Amino acid sequence: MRNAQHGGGASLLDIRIDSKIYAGANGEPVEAVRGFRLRLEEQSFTALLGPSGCGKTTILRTIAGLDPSYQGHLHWHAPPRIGFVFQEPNLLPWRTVRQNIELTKAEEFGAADVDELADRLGLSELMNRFPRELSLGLARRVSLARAFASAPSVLLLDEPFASLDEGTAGRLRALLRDVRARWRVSTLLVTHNLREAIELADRLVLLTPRPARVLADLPIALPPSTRGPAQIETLRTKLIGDYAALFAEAGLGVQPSQ
Amino acid sequence: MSFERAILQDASPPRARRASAIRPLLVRLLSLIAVLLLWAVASAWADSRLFPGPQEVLTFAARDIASGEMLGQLGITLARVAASFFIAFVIGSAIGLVMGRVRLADHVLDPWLILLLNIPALVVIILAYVWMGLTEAAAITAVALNKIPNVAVTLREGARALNPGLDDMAAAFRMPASDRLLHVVLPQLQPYFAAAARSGIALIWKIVLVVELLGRPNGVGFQLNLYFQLFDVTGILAYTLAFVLVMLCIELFLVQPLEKRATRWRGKPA
Repeated sequence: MRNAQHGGGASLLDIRIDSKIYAGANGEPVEAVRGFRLRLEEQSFTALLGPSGCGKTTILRTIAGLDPSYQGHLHWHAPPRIGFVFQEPNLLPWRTVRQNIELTKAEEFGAADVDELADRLGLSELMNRFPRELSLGLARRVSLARAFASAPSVLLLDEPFASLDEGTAGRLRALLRDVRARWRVSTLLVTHNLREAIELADRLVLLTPRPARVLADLPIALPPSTRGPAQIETLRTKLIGDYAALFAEAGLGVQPSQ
Repeated sequence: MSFERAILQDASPPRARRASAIRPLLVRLLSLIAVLLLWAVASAWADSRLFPGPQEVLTFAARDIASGEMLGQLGITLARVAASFFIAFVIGSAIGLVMGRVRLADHVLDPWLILLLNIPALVVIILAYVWMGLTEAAAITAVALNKIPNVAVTLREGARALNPGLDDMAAAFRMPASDRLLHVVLPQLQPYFAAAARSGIALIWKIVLVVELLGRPNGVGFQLNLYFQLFDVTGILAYTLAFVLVMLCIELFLVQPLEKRATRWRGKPA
């Protein structure tokens, strides 16, 4: 694991996606991303914030190497190891929770680490269950455990809190913060929820509606330990106030619930 | 779902359900006995060498089993069924998987499949014997060729139905190709393998009998041909029923338990 190098600020990845086009529902070409550039730092927690369907997921899939057909370039400063938490848990239904975690586990992530990880995520009692026996919230935790156990150099999170009730989503965010404090890893979160981004990330990258490009790149200077609901709400109001025009352009300005 | 499977899948049914499950079993048993009785009465009434009753067929079978003749012939036929089943399965699955995943392969191979599916089994057998001689290889090839298209078509459906999310997962985590095949792809295809195996076993053993009848010096099909020449209906019925019994046992004690094991993670059907 890379928990020794705290906040080094070294570059992890330079992303340049000049253009990404995919075939739409009727076969017509749709440009999902245009002129997207971003540098990710080691150990950072970056949130990509944009409206639904803006191309965030496409960017994440491109970084993961799931979609090789794009114009641009990914420059990794060291060979990456990708941990991915998908919107769907994507667990193998014929394997138990433990077997799912162990299938993609890194060798240096030992048995004791797996036990500790399961314990922190509240999965210890569920390790021999099959995925069909789990709620969506629990399945997402297993998906998170699988990603951490693969000892990634970068953790990609694609709307991991979507379609959960607020209580479950909040617990899962707290678990993510706890596990990430134990096994530090550079993280890129895709979300359309500003509150979620403020709670977790130290950097907020605001995207335009499709085709996605970077609209604003804002640091979140709040130390993670002080991010209670009140502080999050204060910062959210301030950000929306300070950058009203940007949020409006991103298509996020008129959603007071977020 | 057949009644036997319902019983197998329900590990501890409540008493009421168990009672209602036993009744159809009884009815089925009675129905079977009724057929045997009808057969006995009809053959007694016909009183012909060409229509033996169940007791004569049973006596014949018992004598041939005691002499070792019948078990040997059953074994030979079973070995041919197994060999051609295995070959058809491996080749058919590979073709089906490629066709389901690669569009070009699908377009190229689809007409061949349709052609093969529509050539009568008998023609394939005759051509195999003509081109390859009256050999074991020709016999097995002919049977396998008859079954490959069915397996391929079934597995093509399976390959098309693969979950793209699991594919992405395997790719994102950089799983080695062998792990992907073993732990991600093949388990998803299990129901399709099961379907192909079921229909395969039912189809293959019938074709094997024809192959044996036309060009092999042993096996159940050869015996049937022999007794046909002798107009010995007792022998024909004894061998046929014995082999039907063998295939039923394979279905009941091999295929179904294997399938049940492989689908444990699904849990009980709702």
